[in-house]
Amino acid sequence: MIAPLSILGFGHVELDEHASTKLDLTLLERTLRRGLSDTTRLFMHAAKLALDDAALAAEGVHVIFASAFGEIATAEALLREAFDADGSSPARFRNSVHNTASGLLSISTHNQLSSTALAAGWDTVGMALYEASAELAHDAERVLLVFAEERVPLALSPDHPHAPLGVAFVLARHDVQPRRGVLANLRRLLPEHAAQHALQRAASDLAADAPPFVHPLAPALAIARALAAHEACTLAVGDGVAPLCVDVIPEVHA
Amino acid sequence: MRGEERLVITAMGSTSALGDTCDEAFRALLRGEVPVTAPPFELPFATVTGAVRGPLEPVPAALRPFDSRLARLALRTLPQVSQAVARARARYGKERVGVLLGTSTGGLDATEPAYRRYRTEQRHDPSFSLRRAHAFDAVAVMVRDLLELDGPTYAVSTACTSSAKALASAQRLMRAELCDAVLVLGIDALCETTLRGFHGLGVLSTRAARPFSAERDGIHIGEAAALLLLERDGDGPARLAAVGESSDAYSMSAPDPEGRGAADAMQRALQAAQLDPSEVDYVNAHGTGTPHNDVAESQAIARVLSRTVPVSSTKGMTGHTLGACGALETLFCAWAVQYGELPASVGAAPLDARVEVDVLQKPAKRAVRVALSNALAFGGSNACVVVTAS
Repeated sequence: MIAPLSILGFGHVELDEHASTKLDLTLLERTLRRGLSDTTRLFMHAAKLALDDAALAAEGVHVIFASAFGEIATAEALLREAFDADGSSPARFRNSVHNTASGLLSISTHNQLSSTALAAGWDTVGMALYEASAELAHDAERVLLVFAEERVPLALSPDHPHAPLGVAFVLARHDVQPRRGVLANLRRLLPEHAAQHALQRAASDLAADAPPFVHPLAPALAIARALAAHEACTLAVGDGVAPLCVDVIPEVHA
Repeated sequence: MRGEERLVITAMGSTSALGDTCDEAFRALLRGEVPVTAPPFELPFATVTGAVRGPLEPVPAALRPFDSRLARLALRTLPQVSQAVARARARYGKERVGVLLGTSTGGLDATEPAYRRYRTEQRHDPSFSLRRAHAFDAVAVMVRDLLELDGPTYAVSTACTSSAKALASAQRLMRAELCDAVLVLGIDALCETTLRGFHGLGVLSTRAARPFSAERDGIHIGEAAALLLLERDGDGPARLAAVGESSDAYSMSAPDPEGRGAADAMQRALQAAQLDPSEVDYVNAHGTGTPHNDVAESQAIARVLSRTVPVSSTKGMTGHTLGACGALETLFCAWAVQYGELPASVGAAPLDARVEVDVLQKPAKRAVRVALSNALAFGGSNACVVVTAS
């Protein structure tokens, strides 16, 4: 079981059907803002929201980027280039790696601390909490944990029509104040536990996600919404018959 | 206390162009073999690859959704560590043994034919699963289920530092007492998209890479699976003392020309391992063979360690195995620590005059207590793994 984590700031963003939502890319240098994927743009917007909420700059934090499919549209574009034109765009290839957002943010903020990029399918939220907890137990004082998922191109799969979504949290050890809430008791969920319902509600709230489809990042969105609504709850943060779950305990300050 | 948190490497396994076991690979390294072949698929340009030997065996029917070259590499290699993993499972409990995969490409090689079929026939290949074959974590899930484990399971994907950073994550999970053992998998497989991409960047050679040579002209891509079981204690050839990580904060695809990020990673690694730079006996460099990387990295090594520490890059023999190289070259360091055998930097002669370190041009035999493995990547991601004697 991981030690409780303080949440110092959080934020989330969903892209509408036409991806026309104006996203805040001001964390990035102007010269690095062009030609970015929705995944990278969602990462940056959500990260900015969480950092602002925590009144923290990006320079001195360890950063974890987590996504089930990462730069999947860029991967499809590279496949398309090879199929249609027998070629490969260097700029596109450079930005196809899972740690694209990590590199761009470190360059823009001159942050030379370690940064990583994870993937764990529908367990991404729970596994990223493991990584964040381990980093905080080791040498990090603050961890910016950012999730993003863009739409999977139809050419790659008809089975994952999830909505584009970005969610971010600034996390610290349990005793850090002031904070927006606490994540506690990350543990295996017994099948008969009622918390599974909270996970399903979060998934069906997304416009593009018809129930019973579950968004890979639904647990992250559910945590953010519980904090915003000051509603304590127990949430499943993983997949399967006995997923991980975590207690979300918001704090209200005068 | 010094060394208190050093983890034991209790089992190792590998498959690469150098052979299908660690022992085969190590002996081929010492012989200086350069097993390059034509790419196993058609490309509109010339290059060579470090492909594994022979066709990879198909996955069993029950694992069909996971099928990719990545999965096949994992399955070929897994028997080398499966008994040790079973012992760890029995000792600690299945929920206390994690599985971390470091991979850059995931199962992209399986996505390529599925995409071509969709474009040609306008229908999806029913046998292709994006979630089970393409996704970065798919092989970690497959291995977890095959070995009946239930600890934290995820993929670290930071391009060419992926498996070095998976080792860092594994060590953190164990230090935080979230796991008692972690099986780290470093795996990347040849695929068209990667070779096309590196060709587009102008860094792909038409011959075997020659790291540190004045005549180097780029990388050749290899593939590998490198597996390490880490435990708190036990018997093993070597220990994982620390992993230092840093970001260049310089460029997405070019290394800092002064190697500052690489130097930071080495300094942080030594600090975490509580070692003095003078104690390092060998460095397995990232040493890709591109004009930019090798000089900058050599300057960083000279600055942090010394100009006299023996250095070699094994990528002239294995090819650049991308996300697998951190784990694979950590195995080579473990071998160096165990047997005192240092591989040469094959192809390095004539040395680039700007290279500031003692590049081994022949295999060497000497006592090694501390070995470093550098991994540097796209996005300015750096990691340095410290391996020490048991």
